[in-house]
Amino acid sequence: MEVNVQRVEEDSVCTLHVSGVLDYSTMGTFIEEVQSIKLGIHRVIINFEGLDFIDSTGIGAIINLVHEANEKKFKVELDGISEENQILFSMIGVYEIIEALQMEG
Amino acid sequence: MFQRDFTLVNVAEEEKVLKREINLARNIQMKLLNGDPPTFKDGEVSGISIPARLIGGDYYDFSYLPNGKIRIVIGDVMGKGIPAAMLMILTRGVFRSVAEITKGPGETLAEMNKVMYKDLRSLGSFVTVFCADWDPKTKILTFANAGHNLPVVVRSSKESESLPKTKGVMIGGLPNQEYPEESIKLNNDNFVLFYTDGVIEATNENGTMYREERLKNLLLDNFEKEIKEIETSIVDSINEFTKGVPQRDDITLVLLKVSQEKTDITSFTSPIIS
Repeated sequence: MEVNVQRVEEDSVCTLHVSGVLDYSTMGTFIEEVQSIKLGIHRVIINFEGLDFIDSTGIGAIINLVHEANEKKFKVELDGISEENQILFSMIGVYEIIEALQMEG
Repeated sequence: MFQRDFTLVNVAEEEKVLKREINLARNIQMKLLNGDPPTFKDGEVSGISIPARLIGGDYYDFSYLPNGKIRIVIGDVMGKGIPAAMLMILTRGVFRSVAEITKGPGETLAEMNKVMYKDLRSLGSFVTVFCADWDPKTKILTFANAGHNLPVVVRSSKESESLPKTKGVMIGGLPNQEYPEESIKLNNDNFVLFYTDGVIEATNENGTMYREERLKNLLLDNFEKEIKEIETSIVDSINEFTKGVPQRDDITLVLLKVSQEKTDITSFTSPIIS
C-alpha cells in the first residue's frame, strides 16, 4: 500500500494532491511533503480526489497541519473528499476543528 | 566512561529483553482491559479487544455509578502499537478518575477533554471516545460522543439501526468542548454493539473491507443469541472474511444486552423438592 503526494505551488497557494492510502504505514511521505511547503504560502489545499483509504493516523496528520496553520497564520482547505470520507471527517470533528481554528486566526 | 559493546551477542540479548518487555506490557494491557464486566439486574455487558500488534490503542471500560447506572466507554487512540498503547493507559486513568465525579456521559467527555487536551495536542494525537450510561431500572441508555463511530442498536431479527448522531469533537481536537447527550429506550432482548473502526475496516485478500452493512446483517442473524455467542459470532465472521490477512487495526467490541425480566428463583415460592 502506497501514498502518492504531488505538491503544486503557485504564488502563495500550495496544493497537495494525495492519492492511494494515507495511513500509519505511509504517513512519513505525507509529512515530508508538508514540511517541504515553503515560507510565504498563505493557503494550503489538500486534494483527496485520488484517496483510496485514510485511517486515524492520516486524519491526525491533517489535524496537526490545521493546528500548525493556525499558529503560522496560513489557511488549510480540504478538497475532493469522497462522500464516505466526508461522513468520517464530520463524525470525528475535522471540519469543526478547521472552522474553529480558522475563525480564531 | 561506560561504552556499549555492540557485538552480535549483545544485539541478540537486547532484542530478547525488548521482546520480554513488550510481552510484559501486553500482559499489563490485557489485564487492565479484560477485567470482570459488571453484573446487574435484567441485562448483561461484555467486551473484547484484539490488538493488531502485540499491544494496541483501543480501550473499553465499565464503571458502576452511585445512582445504580453503569457507565460504558469505548475509545480508539490514533495510531497503533506501543505509542497508542501508552495513550490508551492514560485514557483509562482519566476515564476512571472523572467517571466518579461527573453527572453524565457528556460531562465525562468534556472533563476527559479538559484533562487530556494539552498532552494530546503536544503529542499530535487524539482519542475518539463514545460514552454511555445504562440505567437498568428505566432501561434508558443516555450517551454522548467524542468523534467515535456510532454504535448499532438491534431491536429484532429484522431491525437494526445506528444510534442517533450526537455532535462532538474527538478528545484532543479542540479545548473546552461540550458534548450534548441523547437517550434511547431499550426493550427486552434488544442489544447495542459499541465497536471500533477496526471491525468495519478489516480487509480481505482482495482489499475489500468488512463494512458496516455486513456487520448489521450479522447482528440481525444473531439476534436470538446470548451475549457471548454474539461476540464470538462477530469475531468468527471477521476471521472468516479476512482469511488470515494480517489485521490492520485493533478490533474492539462491547455489547449491552437487555434480558427478559426473570422471577427470582430463590424466592420463597420455589417448590420444595424432597
